[in-house]
Amino acid sequence: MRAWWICSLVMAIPGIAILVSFVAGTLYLVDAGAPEQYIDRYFWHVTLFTLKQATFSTFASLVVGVSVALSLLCRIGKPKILRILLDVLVLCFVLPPIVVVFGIVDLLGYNGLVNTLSLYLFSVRVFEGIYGISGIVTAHVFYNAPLVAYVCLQRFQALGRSPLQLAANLQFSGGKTLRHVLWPCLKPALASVTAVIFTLCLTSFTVVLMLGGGPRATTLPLAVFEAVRVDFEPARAVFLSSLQVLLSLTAFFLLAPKAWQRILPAERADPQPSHALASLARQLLPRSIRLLGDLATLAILLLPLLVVATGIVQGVARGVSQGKMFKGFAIMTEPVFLDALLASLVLGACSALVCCVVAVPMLWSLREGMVAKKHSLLPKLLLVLATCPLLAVPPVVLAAALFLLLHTTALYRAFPLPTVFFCLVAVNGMLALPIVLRFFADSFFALARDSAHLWDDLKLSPWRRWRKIDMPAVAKNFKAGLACAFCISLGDLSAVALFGRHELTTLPYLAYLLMGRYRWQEASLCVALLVLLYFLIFRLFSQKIQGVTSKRRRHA
Amino acid sequence: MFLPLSRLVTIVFLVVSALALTTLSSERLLAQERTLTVYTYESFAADGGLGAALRPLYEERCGCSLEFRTFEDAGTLLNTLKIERNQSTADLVVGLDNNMSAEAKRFFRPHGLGRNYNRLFDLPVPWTDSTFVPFDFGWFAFVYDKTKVLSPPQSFAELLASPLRLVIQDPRTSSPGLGLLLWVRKVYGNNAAEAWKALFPKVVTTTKGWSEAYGLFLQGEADMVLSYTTSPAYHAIVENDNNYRAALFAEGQFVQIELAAIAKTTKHPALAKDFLRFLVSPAAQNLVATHNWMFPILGKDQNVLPPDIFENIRRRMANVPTLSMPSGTVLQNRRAWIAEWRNAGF
Repeated sequence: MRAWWICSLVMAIPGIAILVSFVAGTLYLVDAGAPEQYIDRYFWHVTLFTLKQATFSTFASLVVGVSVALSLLCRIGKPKILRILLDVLVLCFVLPPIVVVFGIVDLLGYNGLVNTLSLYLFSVRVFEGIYGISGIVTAHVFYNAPLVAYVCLQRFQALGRSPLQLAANLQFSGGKTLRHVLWPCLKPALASVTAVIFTLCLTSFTVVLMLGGGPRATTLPLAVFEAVRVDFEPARAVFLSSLQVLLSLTAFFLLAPKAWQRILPAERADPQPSHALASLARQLLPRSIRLLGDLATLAILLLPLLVVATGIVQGVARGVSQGKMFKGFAIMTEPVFLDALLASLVLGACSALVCCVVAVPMLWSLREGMVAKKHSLLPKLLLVLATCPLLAVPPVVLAAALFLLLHTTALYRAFPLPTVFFCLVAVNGMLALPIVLRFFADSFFALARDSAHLWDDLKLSPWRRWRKIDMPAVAKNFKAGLACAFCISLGDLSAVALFGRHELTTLPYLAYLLMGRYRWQEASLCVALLVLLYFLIFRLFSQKIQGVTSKRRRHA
Repeated sequence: MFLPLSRLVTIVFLVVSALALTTLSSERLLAQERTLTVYTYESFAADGGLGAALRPLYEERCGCSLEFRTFEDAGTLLNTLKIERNQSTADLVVGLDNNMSAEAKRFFRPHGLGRNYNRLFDLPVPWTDSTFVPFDFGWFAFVYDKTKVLSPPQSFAELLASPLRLVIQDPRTSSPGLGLLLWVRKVYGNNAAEAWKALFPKVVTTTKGWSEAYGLFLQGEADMVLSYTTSPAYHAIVENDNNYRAALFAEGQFVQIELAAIAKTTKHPALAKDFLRFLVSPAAQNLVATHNWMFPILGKDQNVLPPDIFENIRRRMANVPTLSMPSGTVLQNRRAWIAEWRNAGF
């Protein structure tokens, strides 16, 4: 069956198209002798700074993520707490940058919670300012550590309790347990996560702009933006983007293919509560590590909570200043708000569908390829090709390209709003793809490793096989992926801003607009409501998931 | 046992597509035949903005419909014009400013309102351009809370010597940021790089746009924020909070004049001209102060009466020089000056 690779080739088309256009652009530039004029002191500064912040951020995210996972492992016995903790964790890596930045300011800023507390207790400020590389790294850690923790927890779950039991029987020390039991189990998963995090940090844009502190903190995406926006030099923009894609691809090839080579053992999608595992972990891990993990978890959980709290406080404050407490929340009943809410939900749902519709055939075809030819490089290459440019190209650039292609066409003139809508859906769907792929990929491939020969014997049609075998196995991951894609596109600002039609305002964009009109209190209320909405979506999806599993258990 | 998921997906899909189709198609069907397309920045057209307030007034006057196409800010707007060139659907562009007008001039035709129009305007600097029509203006200024900053700087020199914490905007991405760049250049000339080196240690952070900077300021991250002399008016009028002040500097404040112009690509030149005439009429100008938080370009003699606090600010501004720069100079030097700013920050 050669159909699989034709299929995956089709899936990789957008990625390949972006890549080819960049390569062609670079070749053209080299031919014209242009690159020399772009390579100056500033260029080197920008490139080195980009790599520096991405490296620091990735390393810090891994350290914090693993310690959060260890702390959660000790709490894996309490189902309710675990459930909420996991929801908040997943929530963290889809929150819009603007929310995260304000959360960080609420927590670690000049007048943030930590400073206020220490000023009250010890009369000193801990942080004079969090801006600069420390601010960038902090924000990136907040984004990426939860992803690391989630994946690690999945791996611990897959490990089961017997190795830990063995370690306990052999009276291993905490360090020994980490080195000989937990680390070998994490290593393969961490490689691919590292690749994803590193590329995400390379393309990060808003965070760098707001927490960077000044011109010193200029990264490649910002330089691309500068080339397009300030100087309007498309040639330089192409050159810089090519460099960015090249860096991301290199990172991927160095880190990821190794991980794809080893198909991971079947993972129960969501970590399930287990008392035995929790008590073993508590027994084995030294107190200091647990404390560190707990602190990191607390900080990460506190951030969205603070954003919500600040928003509500601002709402009340606004109400009080106008005489009535509830008046501060009047924005919630205004048509602008309701329109934005509706637009966000519709856009999010559509993008999530698009994303999953693309992701499933992509993985399917890839898996067929792996089953047919075990260690072939081509399918892995295709998957990397298909996802990497999406990670490497900042959404702003992706949206700009689509916008340029479409906005002078007859289609746009005749139906501007639907065209914009579908562009937004496409861009946002693509944005969510890499993260969603991470959600399904392992469980999807594991299924192939475990039972490929069975399917061949059954001779099921692809559709029946999807319904009967794959779907039930990946349903939970599928839903988590849907929820993620939903939220990622709900919170995206860049694509919406670019197509900017004021009829189509999403909730985060409304918050941004309110801020632009001095309505800071209402903006923070909007952001708080957005976070609550995210949380609601996750609760909804995870409750569905639980419903399905418990039913299945009853049937079994 | 796995039905719930597929059912869920189907239901979501159906609901979503139905919603999408109804919300998206209705607007097109209702559109009137004569439509004036205005390119502008987002907060002009947004609910509560000047554009949104003017729209019903103008639609009644012309018997046509006014359609806004919005962009994040004036910079994005200008770039779209560059990309679209003669393919543009714009009849009018509202919201470019005096610092970028030279660069944008080639996309517009002369407004044709006659020379006398420029004499009507009550601007701090004389206006002579025959392409762009000003519709509001303001001065950039550092804004602070008087309960927290007890002795605000009286001049740029004092600011550079003060221990204050500042939030400013990036000149590459925002118009106040560019304004500050030109302001520093105007005050310090060839010593601008040294001035930036003295300023950077006080800058807590440089944001992409005005909104983020002002938000951080309100959150207490900085003592002062680069904004407008009119910012305190918002807090006083809407929030009843009189603690915000704009610091006025002895060297002068840099001015921003917001402009409107008729696009070369317009299909309704007469109608577009009529809109410009409306935009600078007392009826529209009376809305400027409280909808765009800028100064109207018509004075009291034209019956344009902004709230008292605007008058107070203008009276204080009478003692302070107004600084500006020919936009041709800006066009020629901007890149070099941005490089200067960037290198001072390394």
